[in-house]
Amino acid sequence: MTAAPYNYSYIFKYIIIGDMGVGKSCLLHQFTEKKFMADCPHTIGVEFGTRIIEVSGQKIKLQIWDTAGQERFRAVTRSYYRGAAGALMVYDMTRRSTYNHLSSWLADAKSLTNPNTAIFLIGNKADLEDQRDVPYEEAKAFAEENGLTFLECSAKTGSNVEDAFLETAKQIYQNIQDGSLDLNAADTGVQPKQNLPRAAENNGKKDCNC
Amino acid sequence: MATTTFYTKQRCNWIEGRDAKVDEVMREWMHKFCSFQDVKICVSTFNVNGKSPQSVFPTWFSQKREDIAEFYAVGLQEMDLSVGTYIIDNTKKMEGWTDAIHCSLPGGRTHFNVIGSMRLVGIFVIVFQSVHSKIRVTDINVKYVATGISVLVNKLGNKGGTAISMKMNDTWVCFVNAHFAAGNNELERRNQDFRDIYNDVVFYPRSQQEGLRDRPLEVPVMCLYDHDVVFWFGDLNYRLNTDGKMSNEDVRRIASSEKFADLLQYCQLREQMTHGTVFKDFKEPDSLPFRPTYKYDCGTNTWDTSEKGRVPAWTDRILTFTKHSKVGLELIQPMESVETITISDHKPVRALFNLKVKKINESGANSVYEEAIREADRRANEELPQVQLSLNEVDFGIVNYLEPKTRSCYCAKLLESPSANNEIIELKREKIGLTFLALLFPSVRFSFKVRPNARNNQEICEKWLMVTPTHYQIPQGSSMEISLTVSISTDIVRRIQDVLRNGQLQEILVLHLENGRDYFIPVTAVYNNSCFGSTLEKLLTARPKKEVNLIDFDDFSDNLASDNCPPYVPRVVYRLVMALRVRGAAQLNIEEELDNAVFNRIRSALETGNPDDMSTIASSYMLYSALIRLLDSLDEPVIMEGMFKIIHKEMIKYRTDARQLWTTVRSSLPKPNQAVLELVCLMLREFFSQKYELRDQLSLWAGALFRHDITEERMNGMYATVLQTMCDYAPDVALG
Repeated sequence: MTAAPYNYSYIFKYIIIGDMGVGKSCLLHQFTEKKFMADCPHTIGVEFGTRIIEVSGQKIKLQIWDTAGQERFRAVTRSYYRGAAGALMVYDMTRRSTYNHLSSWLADAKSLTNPNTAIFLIGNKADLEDQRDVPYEEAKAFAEENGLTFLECSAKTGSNVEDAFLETAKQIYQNIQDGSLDLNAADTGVQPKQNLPRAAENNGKKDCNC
Repeated sequence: MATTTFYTKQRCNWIEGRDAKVDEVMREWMHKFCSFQDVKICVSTFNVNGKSPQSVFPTWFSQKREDIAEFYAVGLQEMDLSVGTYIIDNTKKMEGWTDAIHCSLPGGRTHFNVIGSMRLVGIFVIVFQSVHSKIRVTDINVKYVATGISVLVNKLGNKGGTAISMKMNDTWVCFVNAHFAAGNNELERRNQDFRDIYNDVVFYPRSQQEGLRDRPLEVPVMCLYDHDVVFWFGDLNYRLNTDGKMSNEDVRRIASSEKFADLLQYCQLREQMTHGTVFKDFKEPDSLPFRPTYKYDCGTNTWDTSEKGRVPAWTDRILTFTKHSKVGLELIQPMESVETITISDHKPVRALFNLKVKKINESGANSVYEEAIREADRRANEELPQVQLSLNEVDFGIVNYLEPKTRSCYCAKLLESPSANNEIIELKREKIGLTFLALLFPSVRFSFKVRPNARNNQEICEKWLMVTPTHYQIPQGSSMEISLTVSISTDIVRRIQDVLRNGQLQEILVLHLENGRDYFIPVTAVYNNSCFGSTLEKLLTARPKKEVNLIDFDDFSDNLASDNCPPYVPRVVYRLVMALRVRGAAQLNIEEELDNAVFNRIRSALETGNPDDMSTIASSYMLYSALIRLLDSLDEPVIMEGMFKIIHKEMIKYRTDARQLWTTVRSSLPKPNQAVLELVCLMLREFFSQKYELRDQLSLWAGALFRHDITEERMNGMYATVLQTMCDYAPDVALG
């Protein structure tokens, strides 16, 4: 156990938000496990998953918080936005109502996170093209208007899922590189790994011999 | 897609020690990218008692062909006892001993090269490698730690340790030679010597520094336990502790006999290791198949004949540590002492090990590295604790004033096999309930979280709900029941008036698993809005509720209005007062015990209007208590505080002047408050005339009507006087 090189240099906190049933948990599952979870139960609470990724040669650990989408939990889930470096805002492209609610989700995301939080718009269920209820161009325009990055993806087939998470990380990393994300500011959702010597970190282990 | 740029050509390579989970996976997969080579390593320790060496010690190391090792690590103690050595660095002795050891190695000096050595005064460690060895030794680092007598800040090097760290192919090996504090009674000092050396032997491997050129801030440190293998040897000075059960002569006799092994049970080091005080995770063979190595008369094999007459002990030891169970280290010859070497008062001890030295195929390791990260991620996600709640939602249905309702909730730890899960859920369903079953993990710790931004800061839920336990660690295999209780007391009913919308009480509990997810448990209840905890205005306008399941009489309340209830007095108050007056003070036994079930019957009758006549449904005392409780639970007291103490002040000022009091009441209190107060006073006057001792109840009534801070004894007495005056001279008398 040597001190220094951790295989990730940063930890980024993500939150996934959006209406109930748009596939937030499935997206997380697809990203962390590369599997589609059929018959996924509604999330009643907040789950999380982690994955180590690589951006520009840096190992980054993503800590992803998947929130309950039900309206009645909204007041509670709001308390989980704090400290998120990235927010994935998801709608179901086969259900227009989930798209119509985006402005309210966006308002939450903007007001409850850091101004530099990377917000990503995801139209899920792209595999159900024949049931499409929201045109790509319309969502694209909405994203551009609000300064969001936009992708349509499918948690079922896995298409574009990887890109959505990685592209967000890339944006955050870019923000760190160009200085617009201040690592010292509270609530940025990015923790640079400390360069503590392992010896200090492992006090517990050493003490066991005392 | 732009994402192709994420994975740069220059990948991060695997370096052990960055992430425990990834290392664990890589270790399991070692066969995929490592080759192993058997390497014999001979370790020897010798306290030389300051003696100068002979030119060669032919018996020190086994010269048998099969015993010849590729590496020899030798630790000497007391190599130089001369006083001058502490001040002037004198290398003469060291050179002599280095030569002597070198020549004593099988095949002589031409067969071995010195690859590293370190000296601290007389504590000397040296490592040789066979010239035929194909092992690539790199990253040789040395370190010393002095633990001896303190001179100002520095410690003299008469005690302490010297260490050499190196990488044999890709296996990290460290040799530590130590000399601990001497003396029978210095056990604690020896333990401290171990801790000091263990903590302070830290290396800065060069190869890793180079790998981090671009990140100069990250200085890698290598501690003892970062090595794959540690050989720790030396004169550790642990003695035999016979607890006075055996004399020195007995010990010597046994030590000289074939039964010397029996003495090992008294060894302080063994005892300390059993207690886990020192050398945790280090290993030594179960038995030491050689006589104690201390203390002999120099030049002989005779136990110490000097004045001090030391008790024999195994002071000279060789211990090993391996980082994990997959490091292949094996003692291939029984450890032995060399009794034929007699120049010192100690004997040398030697041990021959076989180490499976690994060689990492770099490209092989890096090709599985990405996969190992994935695997580590997968495991990390899988190991997140999960539980199954038997109730996703807790609905209490209708709850009544002062009628607590409890629900148990059970929660089960998810099992690996789905069928087992079903069993648990079935089992729990009968009990309706939250239990935890911790199976995968040693334990699951949960707690209910205080929600930031919640109105009820610092509380996990609103006052009307009680949760027990709020946090708990569930031991492996056991389960947990969480009980939720809704209880609407007077205190709470006043508090929730503004929260209540159609009587709906809603709360969301956040159950947090340590290192895991949060579960939301919505809790709902419908508060059956009661005449208790209401306001006089509401009571005046309230119509009796129809009882559930009651046949729908048309306009039920119309049948009731034909009595003498004065205007401005709520019917519920009137009915209670009338019932009490009908029964009379004689029947009122204030010693009676309160019965909650009876109270609920009274409450129900008041709210439903059925039966309208209260006089027969409960004892006088229960009706009397219900009336006090009803007045006490009012959102605002009958004699309001609203006008900010003005009324109170006036009343205290005129406390014996009934006329002034009633004038104040009539000029400052709203009509319903006046009417209720007059009705109560009339009733009390009647009661007092029937039963004088009931006057003792005045302060209780004063408390309910004024609702001042009851802890203020003095005020309480004054309000009681006010009330007494008002009862004795009701308005008809007082105001003529």
